[in-house]
Amino acid sequence: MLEIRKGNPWIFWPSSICDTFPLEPANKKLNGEHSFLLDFDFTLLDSNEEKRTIFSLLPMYSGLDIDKGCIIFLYNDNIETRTEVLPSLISVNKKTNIKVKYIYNQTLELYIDDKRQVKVNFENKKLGYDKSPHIIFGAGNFPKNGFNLNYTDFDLHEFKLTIDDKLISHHTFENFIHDKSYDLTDNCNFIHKI
Amino acid sequence: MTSQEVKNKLDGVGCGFCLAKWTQVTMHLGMGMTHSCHHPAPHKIPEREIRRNPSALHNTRFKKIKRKEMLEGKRPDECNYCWNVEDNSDSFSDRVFKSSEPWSIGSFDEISTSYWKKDFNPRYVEVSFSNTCNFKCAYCGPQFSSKWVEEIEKHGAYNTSTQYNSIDDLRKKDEMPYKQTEENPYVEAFWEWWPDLYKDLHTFRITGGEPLLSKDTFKVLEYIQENWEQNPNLSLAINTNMNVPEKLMNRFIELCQDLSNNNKVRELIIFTSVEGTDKQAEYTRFGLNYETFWSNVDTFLTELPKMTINIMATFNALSVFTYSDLIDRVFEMKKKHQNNERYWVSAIQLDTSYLRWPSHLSVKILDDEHKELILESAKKALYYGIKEFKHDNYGFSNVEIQKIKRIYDYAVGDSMFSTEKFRQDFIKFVDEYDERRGTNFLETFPQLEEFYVRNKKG
Repeated sequence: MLEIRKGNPWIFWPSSICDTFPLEPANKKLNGEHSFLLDFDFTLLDSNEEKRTIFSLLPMYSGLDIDKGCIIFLYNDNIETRTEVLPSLISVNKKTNIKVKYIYNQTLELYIDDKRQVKVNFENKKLGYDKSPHIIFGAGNFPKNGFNLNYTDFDLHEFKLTIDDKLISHHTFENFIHDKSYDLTDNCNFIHKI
Repeated sequence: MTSQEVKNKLDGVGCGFCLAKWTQVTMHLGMGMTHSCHHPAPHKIPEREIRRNPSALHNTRFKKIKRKEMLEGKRPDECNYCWNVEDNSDSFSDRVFKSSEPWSIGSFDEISTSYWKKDFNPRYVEVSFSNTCNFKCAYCGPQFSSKWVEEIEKHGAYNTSTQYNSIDDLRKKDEMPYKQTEENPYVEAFWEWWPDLYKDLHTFRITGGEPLLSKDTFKVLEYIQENWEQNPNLSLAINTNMNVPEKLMNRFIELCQDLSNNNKVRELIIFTSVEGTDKQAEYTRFGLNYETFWSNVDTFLTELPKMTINIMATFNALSVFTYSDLIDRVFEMKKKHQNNERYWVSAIQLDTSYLRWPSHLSVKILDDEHKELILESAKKALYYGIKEFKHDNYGFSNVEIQKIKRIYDYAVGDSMFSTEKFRQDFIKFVDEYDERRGTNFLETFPQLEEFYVRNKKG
């Protein structure tokens, strides 16, 4: 289990250490041109009413926020960041599963506990991207930037990233090496402390 | 100044003009040889030249003729390493990079307008006083190790297809290293030149043999200790195998402490080597006591809080099984000795290069399953990696990681390597090595037993 706590978000950005190794870091595949399934289990620990970010896919913002009892699913389609507002489906102290399923040139879907909540048509569109995408867990930005942080507390139990139907990153957060969670697929697609 | 601007400036003098022919030198005093830069083959320094002019250790007539060619718009043949790069790629050659260095570019006007016969004091100097060494590493040879000379004089060359480490050629070319007990006119010339050379130096590096077994190394350090005000900005680098007698090591640490703690040099860096762990490292670096090595590294980093140790690892076929453990050990040291004072940020760096010669010890002789272990080592270094190489953190840098990954790329890459021939040479080599040195290859490398048996049968 990975304890995400206020002020200490973690990040999925394996190419940030060495840009040439691994050869195809999974974060670079989150560039809108590959289908992917982002699948993770977490337990929210923070019950306050302020805006909180579960994850943010940067630098072209997509992500999942909780704000005043609502869930806000954000996605960027290369034109702007759009939002879908949902009722509260995430309870404090209860394990929740999130799946974000993107099928290139078709659809973007959000599932909460295996029930589809959002389906967006992405025909002739691509998810917004930049050359080195990354996912922050527990914040909407890097702490050093000092804005849009929206810290929260949660425990991340498991994380899986499938790209083009191939599982290329899998974490159960049992092994950590130098503030990096070990990727069970052996692809070195680690999640690390910021 | 950009690399292109430096190139334009150099080309303005001549298409073969390179400042390093004046500003940089590597001198092998034990053999009486010199070259500028390190790419051309070393050439013999005529004794008559140093008798007249000790700076002929660098300013040989041979080298001056090459400088003349450069000033006249020609490209000296001995510099073909750079001409190959310039003629066959869009990359800048080392001619541009070395000329761009702070120890080079500042002398552009002086050099470009100088008469070719004029002597020039180099700024970047590497010197080996002798080949005296207490090691005889498997991949080394008589030029760099007196222990190797003793072995080859006793047993002859190894019976490989290359007649590994034969000294016949050295004898023919009059390049046999002087023994430590013999008077060496090249070392004498060095000391005659040194007071004048020292004040102009940017970087001075002592290599070997084992430099700490040479009294000249200590003489250099003591000289700097007394005369540092003539050149307080010197960057000083010294190689050592970290396995010399305790008394010498203690004296060395004491001198380094004075130079470093009292800012008598701009920076001090120690270069050492190891390519594996425990018995396997000791087999390859014959003479090494692995735990003494680390104990000395630990002492250095404790006693010298500003200094960095660079491990130059020559990754070879016998490194694959324990390199990952070595990475753990280096990481432990990075963590233990991280502070805010080091000249080079990191307390210890692992600089991994691949061994090309002798080919029978290259990673290319290995089976695929063994080569995969190199990739596993690179992955471990990546997990120990750090994003920002700053004083307040520790771990492996992007460059350290990439250099390990590059060994894997080299191992699995296509090339004209005669694998079967060099595997046969490897078997002959380790058999003879064990017989001469009383080692036991199969006991030390059980992971290679099947490989050994298969290739022994041929």
